[in-house]
Amino acid sequence: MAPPGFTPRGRGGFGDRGGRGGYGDRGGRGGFGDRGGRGGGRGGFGGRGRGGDRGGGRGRGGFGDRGRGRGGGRGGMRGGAKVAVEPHRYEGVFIGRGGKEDVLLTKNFAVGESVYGEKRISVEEGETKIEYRAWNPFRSKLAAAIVGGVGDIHIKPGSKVLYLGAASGTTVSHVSDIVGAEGLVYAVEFSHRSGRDLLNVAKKRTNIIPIIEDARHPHKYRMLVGMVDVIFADVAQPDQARIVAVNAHSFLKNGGFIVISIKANCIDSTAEPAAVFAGEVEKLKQEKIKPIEQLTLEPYERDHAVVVGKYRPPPKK
Amino acid sequence: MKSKRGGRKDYSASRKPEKAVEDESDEDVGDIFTDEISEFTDARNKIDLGDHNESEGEEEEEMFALMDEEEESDEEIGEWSKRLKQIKFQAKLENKKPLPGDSAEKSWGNKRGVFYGSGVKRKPKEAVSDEEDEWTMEEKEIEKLQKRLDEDIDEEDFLVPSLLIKKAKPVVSEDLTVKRDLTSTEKQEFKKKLHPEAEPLKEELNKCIEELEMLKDKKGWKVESRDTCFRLLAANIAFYLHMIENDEDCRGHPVIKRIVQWKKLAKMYEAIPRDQMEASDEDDNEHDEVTNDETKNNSPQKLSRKRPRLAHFCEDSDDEIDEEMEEENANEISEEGESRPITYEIEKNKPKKKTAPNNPRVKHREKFRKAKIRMKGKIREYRPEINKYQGEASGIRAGIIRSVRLK
Repeated sequence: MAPPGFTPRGRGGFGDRGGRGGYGDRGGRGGFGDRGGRGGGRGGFGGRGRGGDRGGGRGRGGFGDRGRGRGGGRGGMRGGAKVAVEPHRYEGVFIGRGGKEDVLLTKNFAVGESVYGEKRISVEEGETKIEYRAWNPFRSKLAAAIVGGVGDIHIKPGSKVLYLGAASGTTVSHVSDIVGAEGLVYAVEFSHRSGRDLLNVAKKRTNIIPIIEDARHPHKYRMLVGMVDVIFADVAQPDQARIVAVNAHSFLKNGGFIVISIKANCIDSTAEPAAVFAGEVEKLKQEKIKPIEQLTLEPYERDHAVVVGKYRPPPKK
Repeated sequence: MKSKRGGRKDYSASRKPEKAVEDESDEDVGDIFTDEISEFTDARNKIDLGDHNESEGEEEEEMFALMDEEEESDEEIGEWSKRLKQIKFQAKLENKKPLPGDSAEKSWGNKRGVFYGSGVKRKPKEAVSDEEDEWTMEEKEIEKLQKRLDEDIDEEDFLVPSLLIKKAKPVVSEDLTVKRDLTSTEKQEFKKKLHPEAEPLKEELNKCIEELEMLKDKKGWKVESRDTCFRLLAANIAFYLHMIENDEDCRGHPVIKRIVQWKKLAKMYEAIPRDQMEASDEDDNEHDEVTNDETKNNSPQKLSRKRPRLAHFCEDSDDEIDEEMEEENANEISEEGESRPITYEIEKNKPKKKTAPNNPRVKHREKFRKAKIRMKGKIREYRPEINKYQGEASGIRAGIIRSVRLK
């Protein structure tokens, strides 16, 4: 995974990634006595014992309309707590307002599944039951951007998204939630290890097309990817702008959007973050991508920025 | 050392002619016996004398000894020159003696530099021969002038008024008055003029003390109250007298008012014969009741709570007390009304200057600290996920856009 490929997320590589995989892997998780015990204790309200049998969906029927999620955590969205879900400004994104804290939510595409151990909140409206998954801004830069207040993510239900640097597929899963059944997510990841997790996610989510390839060479997966509306890039490579541009030239429709997350340290660890961001924006401009907005992800990530741009915007009349 | 000595030689040599003139004019005897050689030796000797105390002296003598030997051919001349030397030395001593004396210290201090303070330094001591004389002459002259001035001045000129008063203290207390009488009557009178009220106050004090002694053996709360009244009056008077003694500025001092008030009360007490005061406590109650009734009827509000007992005694003079109290209040009000003069700071009304740190390191540190605080407003602090994420504690606002628009 290491050097040549684009390490998705630039998260310090292997060990880390592996660890994360493990986390995502429910196997290890199930082992927690705590988890099982919880399910049991809570049993009354049909807690879905998430541990091993999570596919079972046996506890579905929960209590009334209230989201009960996995009930794992203390605080926040504790199982049994009332959570009001309201839509966010962006389509497909929701806000759960429950106890003390608000949570960013996406409607779970694969109901009953947690991808990386996130909480789920089910809401029952009459006959239909909707399940939401909590989106942790500390683990997803897109979520961080949303919570931070980015103007628009341009990813909405039905969009086709090229996701560069998909890593284990945590954020990809949420993007797939947002785009829904109508949309498509092409998730490109070069690392085989995290690609494996990505594949596991994609198995449950039909709108994800995993591509284990180097994003620097879009021609290698040109046969898989059609025209896309949005490119989301979280590749954390020094030539990030070029990678995005190449992919944009190959797959992005005119007037489509790019959303890239820039980690200043990965571009130039010696320069000031602001200068690095400005430099990247400049590079994008040269690639016919018009930058629209920029946002730093400060409380969640250090020296990160999300830049939103428009590819080949139609000339103003 | 050598260089110094050489220098001195040159100097003395160059001075020779002047010296000769001086010698001739000064001394008749010198005419005959002094020639160039003797003058030279004189000059040298003078220096020796001047430097008599210095450790170098001996060495110098040795060095010049050779020359002396040469001149010893004429013994007579040598003798005479020695005498001359002695005479001059004595004269010098005489001149110099008075200088370090008391008068000199008084007039300009011990050091010349202290007095003149012009920053011009004298030549080094070794080099001084005739110049020293000039200086001493000047000193003498100045001293003369000073003496003349001193003659005009009386002791009184030195008496600062406050000192004068201090001496006059005795007016107040008896012990001291005796002393004062011994010293001078004039000052006493002056003192009297300055504080005409002191004498009557003293009498008043004595009266008070007498009164207190009379009350000593008697009992009962009436007596007590009377006692306290006089005591306080005495204390206030004593305080005032004490202030006068210490020459403090007691004009407009509040104690004066107090004295007046206590005096009034004391008068009221005096109006009541002492025998009546001794009346047993038994009839106190009756008295109380009566007075209470009366006071209630008359003007319960007006009576001060502080001195209900007084009120009992001076039923007749209730009105007086009231008046007094009113006066007092008025006084207090007027005191408050007369606003104190504003302070300089108030007048200028300048904002307090922020003293920037003089230390550049501290200055930079402060700048950095402030910059960090300002930065917090622009970019939120990075706060890694330590505990498991439970949601946004500060809530999520869907409508807000915090991003920067780019062009």
